[in-house]
Amino acid sequence: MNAQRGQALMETILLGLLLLVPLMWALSVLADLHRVSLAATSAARDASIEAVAARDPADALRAMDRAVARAFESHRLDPRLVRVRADMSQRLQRGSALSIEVTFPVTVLQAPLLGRVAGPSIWVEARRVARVPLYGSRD
Amino acid sequence: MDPLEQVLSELDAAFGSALERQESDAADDLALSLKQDSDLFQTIADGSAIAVLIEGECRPVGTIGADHVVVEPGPCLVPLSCALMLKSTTGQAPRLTSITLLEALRARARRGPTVTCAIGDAEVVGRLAMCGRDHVVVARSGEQLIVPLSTMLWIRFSPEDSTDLAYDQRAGRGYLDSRTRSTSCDRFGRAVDGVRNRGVLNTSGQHGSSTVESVFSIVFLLLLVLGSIEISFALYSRNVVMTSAHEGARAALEIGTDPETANALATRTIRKAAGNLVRDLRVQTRSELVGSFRRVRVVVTGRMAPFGPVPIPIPLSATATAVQEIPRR
Repeated sequence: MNAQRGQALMETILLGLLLLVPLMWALSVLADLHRVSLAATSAARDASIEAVAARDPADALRAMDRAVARAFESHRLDPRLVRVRADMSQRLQRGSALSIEVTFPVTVLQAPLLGRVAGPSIWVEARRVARVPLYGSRD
Repeated sequence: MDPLEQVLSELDAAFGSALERQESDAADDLALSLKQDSDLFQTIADGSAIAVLIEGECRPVGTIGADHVVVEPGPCLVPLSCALMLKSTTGQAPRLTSITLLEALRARARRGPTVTCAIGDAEVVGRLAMCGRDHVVVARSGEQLIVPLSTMLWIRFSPEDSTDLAYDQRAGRGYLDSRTRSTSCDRFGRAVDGVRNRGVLNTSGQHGSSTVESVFSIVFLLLLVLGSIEISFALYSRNVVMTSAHEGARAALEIGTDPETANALATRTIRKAAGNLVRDLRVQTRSELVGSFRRVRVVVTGRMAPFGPVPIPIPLSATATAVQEIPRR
């Protein structure tokens, strides 16, 4: 019994460390999900604002890409990983609806110092529908 | 010789012999008084060989305890109060020990040995179930015989139940003595046995160690939980500050007509978005024209209010840029 003195404390610390690692991992992944969610929402909204004021669909696409990139850069996320999909079937006619979807992958496997590691990802998606102003100027 | 001198010489001799007699008597009285002051243990423990009369036979004593003697072979424990002893100058002197009869019986009772117990002219054979403070309980074919120690003449164990084993255990403190073991009431027997079997009382030097370890464990787990909460709160604050900086830049870009207005708009938007989450909030806004684009750059700095196990304010900063093409006129 004397040799077991302090064993409970050591077991608690070891078990605590074993719990700490997945806990920190879960916190970082959840924080990333939150950040990407905020960034995607902002990007979709900014992109829609820019797109509905564009002169033509090509200009709208450029404006959307620019707005999305700025939004993700502001959130310290790599804009090269983002996917933007816009439904411009009505070719930006006045009063028509413009739908924009922004998706971004959040890698589940992340190392504390290495960052993203190859593995499964959670795709965060934000969708925004905007209406082209009826009387807004495009010049 | 002068007759007078002869008389004086005879008187002197008579006086001297009388004085010697008186001195000798006084010395004898003193020696007897000293002997009479000794108790039974001192009387038999003077290095002489001791034998005890049991069942009509003189058997040698191997060990003298505090209040009993152990007769070998047997072993047979005889209380000093009931022992008729024979002292001789020849033979081997018994060993001396401070163990009492109660302690010797209790050391054996834990194993439940078979014993023969003599009370008056009767002899009882059975298993020694327990040893109380002033009695022993002998179990025999489903019934229990209670024998008061004061009436017990002797108690004999089987030969395999060695005396030396029990006394060596006593020397090594291998069993619980009467100070830590409650045997006063039979109803506590099971509780005592339960405690003893779990080894709770047998762990000398560990009293309170589990409490201390529990306190350390709780503190450690508390730090772990509070630390996790603080880290998650810091991550959340960072995200909120980054988003609010972006919102401020966007607001400044959309409706900020001049740099002062843009800065005021960005500051107000960021303060509303971040709320009380961030202290010492500082917002720097720079609006500039780059080609056909208008670019607004907002830098937000502040610190998260300290709480939890780490009372250090965590600095936060975010930079956001919003760009908009200037419509051609």
